[in-house]
Amino acid sequence: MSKDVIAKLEKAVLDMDEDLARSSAHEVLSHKINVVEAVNNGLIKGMKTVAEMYDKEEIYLPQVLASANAFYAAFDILRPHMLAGAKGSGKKVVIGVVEGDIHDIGKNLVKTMIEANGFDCIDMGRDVPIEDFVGKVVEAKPEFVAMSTLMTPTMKSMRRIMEGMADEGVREGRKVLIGGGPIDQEFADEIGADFYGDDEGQAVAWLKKQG
Amino acid sequence: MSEMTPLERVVATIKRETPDRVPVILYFQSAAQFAAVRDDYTWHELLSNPTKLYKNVLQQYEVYGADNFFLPLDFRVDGEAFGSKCEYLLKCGGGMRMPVVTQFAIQGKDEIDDLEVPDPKKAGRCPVILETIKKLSNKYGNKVPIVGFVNSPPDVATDVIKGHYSTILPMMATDKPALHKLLKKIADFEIEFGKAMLGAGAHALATVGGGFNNLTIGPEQFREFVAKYQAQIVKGVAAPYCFHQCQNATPFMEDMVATGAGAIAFHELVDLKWAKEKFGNKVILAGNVGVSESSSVMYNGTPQQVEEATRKAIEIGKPGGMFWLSAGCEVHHALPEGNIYALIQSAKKYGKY
Repeated sequence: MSKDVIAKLEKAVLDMDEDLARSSAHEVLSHKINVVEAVNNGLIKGMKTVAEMYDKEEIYLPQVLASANAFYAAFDILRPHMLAGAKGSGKKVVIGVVEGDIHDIGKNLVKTMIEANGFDCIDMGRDVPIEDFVGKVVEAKPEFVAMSTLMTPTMKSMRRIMEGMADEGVREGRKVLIGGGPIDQEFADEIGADFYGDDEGQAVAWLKKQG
Repeated sequence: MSEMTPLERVVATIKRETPDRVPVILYFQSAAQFAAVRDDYTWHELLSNPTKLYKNVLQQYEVYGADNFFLPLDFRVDGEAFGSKCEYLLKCGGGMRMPVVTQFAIQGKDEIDDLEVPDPKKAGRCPVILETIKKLSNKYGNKVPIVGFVNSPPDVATDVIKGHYSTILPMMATDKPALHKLLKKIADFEIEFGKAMLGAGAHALATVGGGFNNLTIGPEQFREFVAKYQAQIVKGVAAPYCFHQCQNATPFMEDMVATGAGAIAFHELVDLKWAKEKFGNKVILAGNVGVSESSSVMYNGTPQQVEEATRKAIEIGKPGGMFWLSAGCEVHHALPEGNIYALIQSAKKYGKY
């Protein structure tokens, strides 16, 4: 029974089927199946396959986001039932699209894969005012700060957040990763970010390496 | 050859004749902010008042020297026409001071059937655009091409339905019939809006396809959700048309050409030499001096570097005609203004036939 239900969770993600995801999540709870195992071997396994297919250009963002919707349809039901300490690394990532930019697809994708790999995400959303972004870092003391923008003009907001974190004394002790259409390694070096990634796969791989 | 007017120059390229020089055709959009600041207009004032918009757009030719006028200056006119509401980002030093949709016309897929196709002569800011085109036409209708901007249907869809791209992209995978219904309504509107702009005095229309690019969708999705509706619009308006696609349009170029648009414009990530060899005798090519990437010459370079990049683009595009010098995407407000002048002046310097 347990294996069948977990396989259905994986299938729901691969088939982009939110209804199946929800019903399977409820089955996990009603049959008292280990929630962490269901998430890891069903939902996360499915998302990893989706990410691999995306990397190989077998699928594109429409399918990835539809799979992510199915992932969250089940994950939101199961998350409250995951035992404390069994959720993953327990490390926090404050993530958001910087001020002036409303394009959040890339950020949402990175967030999904970060959460699917056991990190706790604090999602600040899009067009996040610089002071709000810095304020959340001060308040939450995350291990990581992730910023994105799709537009060249709003790259400046990233620099200002870096400066704001330094001014507030919270740059030390945490690592910053950035990404988005116009961003490159040179810009990351210029503003003092620790990592630049092209996609969610690179972001997750780097985060996991940080331990 | 005696000096042509911008209109004669562009018409010559459309007729596959040799103009006096390569035309400079720009999507002059958020760079309008330079003049707006000098005139002390907010974006909201500029975009909602035909007199102010006219005064600003005039400068594309009179001050900067481009061979065309381009408007609307922002991407939200179409979504607003369907009933979405915008706010203006004013507080961000680094960000666009342009309108963004904060209230969507429809809240979900189940409202698509009831969504009405608006009348472009009455809806949203469309009348402002039409009035501005009339003013431009009265002054320059026989001299400078006026290009009306028709937004791409899937991009407009993200402005119409709550959830933005997070709603539209998954629909491409899981709810195609509903999405096609929405795109059809938007394409119908765009045809009427395009006709209205032509009726007001525009000489040509252009689409700048934005978010549905190689970073988000594959070639089949581009064909099904972007090119299909673009082709309907091109056919429906039956006018000179330029279709631009953001980001790396290399995988989509065949489909872009197949839309029937007379001109294809593309981002700096597309190899101009490759495009010229493959498509240069089929359609007019417009491109593609770097403007979008953080390392692009117009964003990061000096006027001298812009001149050299322009010279190189013209060297590739000019032979055989059917080429417009353009930036790789919209001319935006984060560029050094001197680089805009450098682009246009360099085209005049190196573009003579």
